[in-house]
Amino acid sequence: MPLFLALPLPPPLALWRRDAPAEPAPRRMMPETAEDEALMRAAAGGDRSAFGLLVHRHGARVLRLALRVLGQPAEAEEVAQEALLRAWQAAGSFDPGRARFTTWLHRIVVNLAIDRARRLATAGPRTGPEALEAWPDPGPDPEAQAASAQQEAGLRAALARLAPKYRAAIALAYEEGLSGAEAAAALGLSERALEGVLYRARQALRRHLEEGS
Amino acid sequence: MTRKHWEDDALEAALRRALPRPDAAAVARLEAAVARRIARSPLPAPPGPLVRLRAGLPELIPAGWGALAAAAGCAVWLGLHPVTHAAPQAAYDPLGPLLSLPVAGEFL
Repeated sequence: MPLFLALPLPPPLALWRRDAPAEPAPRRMMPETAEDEALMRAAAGGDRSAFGLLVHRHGARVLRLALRVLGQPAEAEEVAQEALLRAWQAAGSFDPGRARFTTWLHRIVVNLAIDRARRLATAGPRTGPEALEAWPDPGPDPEAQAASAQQEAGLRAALARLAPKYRAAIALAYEEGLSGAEAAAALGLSERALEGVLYRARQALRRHLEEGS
Repeated sequence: MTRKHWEDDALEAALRRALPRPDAAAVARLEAAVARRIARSPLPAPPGPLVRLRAGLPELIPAGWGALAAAAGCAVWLGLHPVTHAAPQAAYDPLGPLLSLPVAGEFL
């Protein structure tokens, strides 16, 4: 037998052997300043604390997007949880060469939220006054709220009547710190196509506002 | 409310004010719930072969270029090197030159 066949395999090759023992999940802590992609690599290796950092970093935006598409806090929380859980389960298939982590995550959230909104619409819409009452107050200043309460209520009612995809486009377009390219990618559109969707969404919103006034 | 009231600027400003924002308690609830569910759920599936290949490809590119350059070098060398038409060893007869002498046939 040739000598090289008798030699033990080096560690990288040993991982490919079917009978190699399963590696325990790494326990090292990632620094809080680590980039999203590094945290996702660690999460793909089973590091739950690394994924916890990602949830802490992006949870608010995930919830905000879900809330703006669905308009109902309880449904939004469920969708946000589901989206983050899916991101955890699919951490191994995340490819930083194809998309940024935030783009990938926003796409999961938006798709889930649009699906849920469509299902809710077919099950019996709750996008009337009931849903509007459930929306949290937008600002801390009660006087400013009182001054524009009627206008905002009208706008919210008009938003609630928009198609879920239009609401998603508006939610992404008005999301601070999100570029046009990222917003478009989250919807699976080109930037030009997103502009078109936004134009139609605003037109529909104006129409609903006029009808409501 | 007329269309005039909902021109672009007014609509933009109103949208920025009216779009809902989750409160801090809801965000905290979300983080806690996700942590609980992840603690119970299995570890993520390992990366698929395509992802592994794509991740390893950039490291293989220099080696690939080297192999390509070596193959091209060999091809050029084979193409330019003069081919020698040497007589085959089996057909070579060491007494052959003797047979060409004018007297050779007389002694055989």
